[in-house]
Amino acid sequence: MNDSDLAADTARGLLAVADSGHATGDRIAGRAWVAPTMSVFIGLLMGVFLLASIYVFPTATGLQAALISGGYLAGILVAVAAYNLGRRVTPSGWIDRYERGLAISCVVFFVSLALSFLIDERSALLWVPLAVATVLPISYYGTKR
Amino acid sequence: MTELNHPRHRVDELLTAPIRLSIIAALSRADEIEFRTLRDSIEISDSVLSKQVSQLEQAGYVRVRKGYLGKRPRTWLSITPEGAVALKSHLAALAAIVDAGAE
Repeated sequence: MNDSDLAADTARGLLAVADSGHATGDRIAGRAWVAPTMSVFIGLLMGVFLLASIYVFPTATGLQAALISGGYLAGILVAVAAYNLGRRVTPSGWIDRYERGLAISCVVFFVSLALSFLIDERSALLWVPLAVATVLPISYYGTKR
Repeated sequence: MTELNHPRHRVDELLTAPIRLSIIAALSRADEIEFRTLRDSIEISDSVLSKQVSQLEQAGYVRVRKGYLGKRPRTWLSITPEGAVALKSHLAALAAIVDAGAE
């Protein structure tokens, strides 16, 4: 700043401008829906794929298994593309939260998948909660403000 | 040399322009905001936002990332860690000036 003093009134005015700018940023971030929606969608894909691998894959033909796997991969690609193309704003800290949720969901997903090879149990009482446990972390952290 | 203690010495000249202050304050509330969304929210023209962002970018306060939506260019803006520090320090200096004026 040069030698001319910034008057208290001018400083007060600039603080009001900053507050307004903060409010604008909050409003923009509050309207973000693409990133949270993608989080839930990917979580659901993982949960459905886990259930498919338990109930459908063991009796599926090669073609059916390929179609389900292809659909899963296509769903992931569509979600990521929609995120990259459609989002107008990335809420503050969202990437870190999303990555944390994705990491937890992936751990639950792969542990559950490994478990399915180790035990013959196919009860919905076991696998539906595990599928929900796969969906929840990424959905929760991806939609958390 | 005498140490300069008055809060006016901590005011960031670049951020005394209301438009630039609005821009960086809005950016401080998100990881990234798309250029047109910020332009519409602050209600300024493309050219004004471009010019102000360019100055903030040169100072290292704002990062500009360019991408494409199909063939249409798209620009993303985010505040840098240096910009966040500068904003915080600037606001603290402004608050100190207001407090000093009230005494």
